[in-house]
Amino acid sequence: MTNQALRPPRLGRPLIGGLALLQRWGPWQRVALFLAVMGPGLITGIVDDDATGIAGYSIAGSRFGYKLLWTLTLASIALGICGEMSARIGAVTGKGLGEVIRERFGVRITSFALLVLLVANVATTIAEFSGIASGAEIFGVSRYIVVPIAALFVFAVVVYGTYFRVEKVLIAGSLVMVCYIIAGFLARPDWGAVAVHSVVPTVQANVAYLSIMIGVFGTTITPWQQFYLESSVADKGLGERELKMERLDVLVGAVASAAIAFFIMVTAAATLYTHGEPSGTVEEVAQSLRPLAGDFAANLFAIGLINVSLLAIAVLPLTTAYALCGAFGWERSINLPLRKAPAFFGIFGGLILLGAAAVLVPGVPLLLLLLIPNVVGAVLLPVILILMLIVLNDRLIMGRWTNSAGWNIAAWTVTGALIVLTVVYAIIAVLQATGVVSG
Amino acid sequence: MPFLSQVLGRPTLDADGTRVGILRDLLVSTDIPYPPMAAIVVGDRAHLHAIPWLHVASVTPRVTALRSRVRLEAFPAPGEDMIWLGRDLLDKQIVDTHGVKLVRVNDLSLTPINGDLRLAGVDNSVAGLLRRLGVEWLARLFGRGRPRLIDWEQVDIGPAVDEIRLKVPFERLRRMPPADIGVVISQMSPGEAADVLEALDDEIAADALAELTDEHQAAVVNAMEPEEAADVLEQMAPDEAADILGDVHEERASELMRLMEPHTAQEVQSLLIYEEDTAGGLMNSRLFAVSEMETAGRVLEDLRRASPPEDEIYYLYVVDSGGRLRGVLSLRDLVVAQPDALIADCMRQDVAFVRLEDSKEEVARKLIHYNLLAIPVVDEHGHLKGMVTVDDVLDLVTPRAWQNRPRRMTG
Repeated sequence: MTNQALRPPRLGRPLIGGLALLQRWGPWQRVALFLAVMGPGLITGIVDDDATGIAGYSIAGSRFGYKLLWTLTLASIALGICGEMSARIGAVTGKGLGEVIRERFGVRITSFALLVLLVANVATTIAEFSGIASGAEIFGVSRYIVVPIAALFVFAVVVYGTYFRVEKVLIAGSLVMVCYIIAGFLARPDWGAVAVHSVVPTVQANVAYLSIMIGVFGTTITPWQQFYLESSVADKGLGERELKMERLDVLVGAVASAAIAFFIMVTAAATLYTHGEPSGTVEEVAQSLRPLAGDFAANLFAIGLINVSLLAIAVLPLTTAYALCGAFGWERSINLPLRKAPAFFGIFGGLILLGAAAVLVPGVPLLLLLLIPNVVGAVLLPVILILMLIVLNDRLIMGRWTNSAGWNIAAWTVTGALIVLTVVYAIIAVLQATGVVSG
Repeated sequence: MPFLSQVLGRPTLDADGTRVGILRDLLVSTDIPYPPMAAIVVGDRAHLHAIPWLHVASVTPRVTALRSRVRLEAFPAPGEDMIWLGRDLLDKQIVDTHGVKLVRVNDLSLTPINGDLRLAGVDNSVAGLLRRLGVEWLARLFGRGRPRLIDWEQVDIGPAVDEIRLKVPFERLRRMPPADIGVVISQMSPGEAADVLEALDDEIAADALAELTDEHQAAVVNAMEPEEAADVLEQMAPDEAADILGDVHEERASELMRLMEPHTAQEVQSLLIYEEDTAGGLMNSRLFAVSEMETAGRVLEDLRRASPPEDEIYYLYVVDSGGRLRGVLSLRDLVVAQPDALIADCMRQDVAFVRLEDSKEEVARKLIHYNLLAIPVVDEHGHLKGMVTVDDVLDLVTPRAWQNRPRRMTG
């Protein structure tokens, strides 16, 4: 047991913790460290392509072919910037985003932001359950069987699991998303057109194009992501030392997220748009794959949808309950009896129950349910991003990790662009509702 | 008895009734019990100024009045040597040492005593939350109008305030039993828990850390400064330290072991090779083994000199010259034996033991069956390698309901 390698002379404290150490390590050790740190960013990126995302990308592809692919390039850059900021707040403060907001902005702003988050997340949870329902119905299984099972499954995983185990399940689930890449190839798209439209923006000045374009941004960058990513970085105990690796994790997540979105849009474009059927619900995309690319491709599409909806149902109610309880100082342990943590279980269980029940109401308009969260989320997002930016520029909180001038320019550009898009979106919605224009 | 939230943001008037600015904050020095306000922070349009308490006539929910006519610009900007009640404490988390939990400060209650205004307590109730939102009547509507106050002398504000401004960081938390400190830090995020452990004595920190769940331990150790983490791990039983190091990622584990005392690091390293839920992974390799050729008097003398911790000498295990387990001796056996008696003659030979590869369930079963506090672990040749104490398998021998521990999740 005399392993000399293990006993060099006692070292002084490394300059910046592990960073100094990192530079001495070989490539394999760095890979190992990355695998240990990896998770929050990757999962955020993958769950980003949730049921609402898949619906949004499918509609975009089926109505406008490859013309909207360029938005994904921009959206993934924005996703990366927002993700980096969330991760940095989590690593530096070691607290959940709800807590950070409460401590910096007080009760009123916190109550407002978290109330809107609650509303947005209720809507999104309903959307995820409807994603499960749609996915199951592609296989011809009734939603009345699948939705209750999914609700129970997620509840059990969260109540009996610990985060580290849940995270492993989530990462394994993320790998299933390769489905979409395979389905994309099976749909045999026109790769030349795909390549051109990925980098060359096309802008059409009509309401349908604009609102769907904004929808793509809306489903890509959502408020709950900032909360989830920030809290899971903090709760994994990742600190400033691991920030370099965590940034890589966020980058990998953003790229993976864009890649999956890309293949979904390409699939919808190569099937529905090419054959002149621009309707574009998720089921239609999947069913249209059957004659063109075979049952296998259609099934892959459905499996991907069910999988990511499950992942999102695991993540969303938990994020919500966690953020609210953290901000208001309520008991938030999942290992306590119900009577000791009523707020936590109330919010968590309530969201799952509400989400599952909503999609089981006969005649409920699923497509509408899928699109509501995009709207509510789009309204909340600028608020959250502005709060985050104020935190990131507060030297008292962030210390040496305060935003640099360059990051501020990038971040405010993203935030500003999203605010403009939100306003345009709202105007379009009002005009459509009052019948001035038709979408 | 005003609350902080009711007085902040109100106008400040001087003796003539002229408005000089807005009350922005109250400053106290926390090394006094129920600290009196030392100064008020008043803001005009651009700057903050600290006005010493002797100039203040009264602070009420409507208005703050000064004793004389003042020029606000004459007062300096508030310094960083005192605690700002609003900025540093309001909305932050602190420790309720009486209730043994972390609470969020919804409001602070202030009490006028002999011309002083003193900090009396912390309001963490829903009523406090609603008061902050300006809808306190809602609380009364639901019969929750009375705020729930925690006495100021029962809280530790360490988690909320950076350590430099506190003379003794975590002064009251330190006085809690380590097991209670463990309960409190189990409610903190890994980063906050790391701050607390770094400020405590290594020994107390080690006991508190031992109270956390495996995952939380790993996250907290991850968040600590490597040097500090290594010092705390050294104070833990090697089996517990090995458990934690087995859960943090490999690079961090080897970094920490490099920083630990070589001897302790080696003990921990030797335990890391065993599967976690086997006797080998559970056992403590630090134990007080007795040679069968010694005399009782000599062993007693050795014990006195080494003064091992209690849980290492529940039983004295007897080995032969080759290190093979031969018997067991209780402290009573040792004390009543003649000083010149050979250990081989006063030990009991029928000693229960487990093997390195035995499962945790098997270890628990034998401990219960023979009604023991600890059981020795031997390798395939019968060499004594360590022992498992009953607290290492506590989760298998106590009813599940007792083990409910706050656990963190994420998301």
